[in-house]
Amino acid sequence: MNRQAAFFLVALAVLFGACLKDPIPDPLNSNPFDQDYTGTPLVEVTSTNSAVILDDDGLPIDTVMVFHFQVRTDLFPASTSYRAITRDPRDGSELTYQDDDQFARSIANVVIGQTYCMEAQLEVVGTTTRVWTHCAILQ
Amino acid sequence: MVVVMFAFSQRGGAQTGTLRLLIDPGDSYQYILDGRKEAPARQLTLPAGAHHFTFWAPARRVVDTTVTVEADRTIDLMLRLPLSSEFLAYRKDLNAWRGRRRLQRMLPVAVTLGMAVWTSTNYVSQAKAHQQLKDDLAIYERSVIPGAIGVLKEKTIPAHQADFQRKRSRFQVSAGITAICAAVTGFLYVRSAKDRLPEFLDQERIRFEGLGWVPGEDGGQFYGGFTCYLDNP
Repeated sequence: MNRQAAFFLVALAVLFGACLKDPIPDPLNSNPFDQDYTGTPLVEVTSTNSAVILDDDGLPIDTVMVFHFQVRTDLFPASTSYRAITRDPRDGSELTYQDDDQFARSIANVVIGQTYCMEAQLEVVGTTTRVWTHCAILQ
Repeated sequence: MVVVMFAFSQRGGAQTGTLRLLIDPGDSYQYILDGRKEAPARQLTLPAGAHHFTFWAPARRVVDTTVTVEADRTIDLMLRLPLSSEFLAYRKDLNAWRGRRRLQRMLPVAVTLGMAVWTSTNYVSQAKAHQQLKDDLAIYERSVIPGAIGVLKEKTIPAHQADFQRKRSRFQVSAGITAICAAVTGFLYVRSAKDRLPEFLDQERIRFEGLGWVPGEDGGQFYGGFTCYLDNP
């Protein structure tokens, strides 16, 4: 290979090495507020427990299952005000929690040994994150 | 090469006259007067009568002429030495060589430079579009508004990606064309180096001087000419 050919090949390599790559990763889903986010849930269930509701006479009238939630504010890309929403998939009932990073929601009329689920998501400036569904067996 | 020239010269009497030489080109002509080479002069005092001159200048034709000098008078000899046919041919070859050199070197270099400028412009456009995508990614990574992220992902980033891909393709095409132009330029440059500059062999000088050394690629050559002046009785 003569000198001119080597120079030409180097110049060609430099020219095509100057082609830039698309910096957007595929898929793009690393932001926890993205609807397509697949990482650690922003709203986690830290624990579940059951409780028996007693009447004034001390007699049991119902058993409830309590989901204890925690909002992973440490995963937020930036500090923000938010509203947490929990939804009971059995009846679609929703409860909201403004800027609480720890809260609990109970569901009534449960039976020990059954599996129960609860949906949770965050709302920021009128738009919501993806829904995380947490299920647990009542023991 | 042997050139035999026949000329006649006539010697005059004891009385003299003056001859002024007005020769074009005025700074480089030489002459042989009555068979003898003399140092060039603008004005000569010669015996009255006919005198034979052989004029020559570089790239000019040898001109033989006879001048009659009258006693106690000054006469002007105005003469324009015509360009030699070898020099005219050389000038034509030189112009053709220059044209070829321009075509084979300057034109490809100019085109390649133009393409390089276009490629640079396209690279800058590509880099700007790339930076735009990086900015979009930074906004995505910082954003905490799900709705804004949705708009960014569904509209803004795809539009910027399409723009980036279009500009990158344009850069690749221009870089390829520039590379081809550079290769063609290099090839023509190397090839044109084999096209030697035409050399001028002044045959008229050999004819004038009789013997000359002409340097060449392989050392050079002696050229000889023979001129015989036959005096007119």
